[in-house]
Amino acid sequence: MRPSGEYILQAVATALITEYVPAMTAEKAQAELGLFALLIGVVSEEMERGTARRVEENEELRGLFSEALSVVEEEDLKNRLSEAAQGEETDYRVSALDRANCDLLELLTELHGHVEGLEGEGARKLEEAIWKALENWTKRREFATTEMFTQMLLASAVEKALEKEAALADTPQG
Amino acid sequence: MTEAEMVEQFKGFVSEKMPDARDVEIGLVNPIFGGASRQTYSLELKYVTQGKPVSERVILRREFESGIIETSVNTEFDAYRAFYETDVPVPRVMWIEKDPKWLGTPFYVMEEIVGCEDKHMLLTVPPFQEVREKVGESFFRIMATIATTDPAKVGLEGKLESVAPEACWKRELDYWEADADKNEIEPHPVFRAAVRWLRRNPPLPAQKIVIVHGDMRAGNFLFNRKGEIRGILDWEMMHLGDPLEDLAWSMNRLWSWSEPERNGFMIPREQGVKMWEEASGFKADREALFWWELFASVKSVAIWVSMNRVYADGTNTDPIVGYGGIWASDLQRRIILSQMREKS
Repeated sequence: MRPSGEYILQAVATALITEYVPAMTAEKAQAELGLFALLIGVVSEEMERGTARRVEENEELRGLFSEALSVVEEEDLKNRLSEAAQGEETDYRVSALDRANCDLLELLTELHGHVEGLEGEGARKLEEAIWKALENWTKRREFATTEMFTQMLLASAVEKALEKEAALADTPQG
Repeated sequence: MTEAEMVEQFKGFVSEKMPDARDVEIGLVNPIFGGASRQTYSLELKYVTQGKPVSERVILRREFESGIIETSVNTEFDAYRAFYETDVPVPRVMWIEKDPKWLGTPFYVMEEIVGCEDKHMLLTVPPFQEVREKVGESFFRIMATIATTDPAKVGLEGKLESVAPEACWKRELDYWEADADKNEIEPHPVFRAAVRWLRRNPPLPAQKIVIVHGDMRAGNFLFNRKGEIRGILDWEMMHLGDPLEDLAWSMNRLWSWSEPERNGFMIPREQGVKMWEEASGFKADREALFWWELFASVKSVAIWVSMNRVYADGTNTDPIVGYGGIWASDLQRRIILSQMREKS
């Protein structure tokens, strides 16, 4: 689709934030419209990266599970890791990738807990590799709108504080 | 319930509570934006009593049909009543109503403290930036006062569940882990790693069992241009526990994301800890404090997970719940990861 879905959503979110939010007079409605714009921004980011980040992460986790086989001692966990490591994507819809991703993350959590209890250099190396995967997991879920929202909150708070002060100054007591 | 219906119902409630008042009217109605645990409104209450017209600004806090945190308005009401006219500034509470016949859910009403701000981000820009250290000093002094207040002396004895000094950490961790278990809609491996670490490395027992505010942080108090704190708010998670819990919660970098070395944009973190130690007489053992700081991240994730859950299942589609859960989850994940990397 051209223009892309990501572009359309970003354009809508930008118009809401720059034109429509400032024009609203009711505080709650203004704030909520700003939040709707940010939700659209989040969806836009996910639209662009949603498939890629899941495919990339699933691949990374399967690779990690392969590496873990030489370290893991518990037979049942080893079998499940081996099976998961051999998996591959057959359905690229986000919902299907998500289901696979959730299963892999559950297994990662179990593996992490198991490795924490193991002694030896191999276990420590694997633990470090898991932490690296968790750093990537966190990074893949960061949103650019997070910083934008922080700035929006500040701008809105300053504006309201100034309005409130002006209103107080206008009252006979002020 | 629409806003107009709510106002009409509230008018009936006030008339019943004040049988001598005539011509009861609700003037301005301003929904207060941002509350994820309660619906909050600023209202102008007008009536005539003994022949004189009266106009009061009040705050109405109503439980959501589907709240993020399972708390009742009773806890908040008890806290405000306990600390009113003490060295812990709180607004005067007027009424509590548990019968849903009026507004559909329980609610309480308190006076509105006017001429103040609650958006702590203002402390990062002039003119509030000039008084942020003063705000910080008050904040830590008040936090210490809460922790050194005898529950019996303020009428809270028997109202809060007791806990043994060595059991504080486990009770809180069990509660918030179970909360996350119940609400999680996708796996959170970093959260789980943090929970395991907390269980493997329990903190020292509490020095004393004290009143814990439960959400003591920048953003939950009212301050003015002079740098005075006029009201401590949001007591819905008040309980008895370890005094380090409140201190650590206030230090969560989520509350000061763009200036992480300042507690709540107020004062440098370490300076705040020292102020609190001096004012309370308690010691903030740094290992135990780290434990409670990591716990604060875990509790925080559990709350954001709940927000994501109620938004996802459609029981609370308020956009602050929708976006707030996403925004806070993102930042808290980054914080928890850096805390865990510090220890791993």
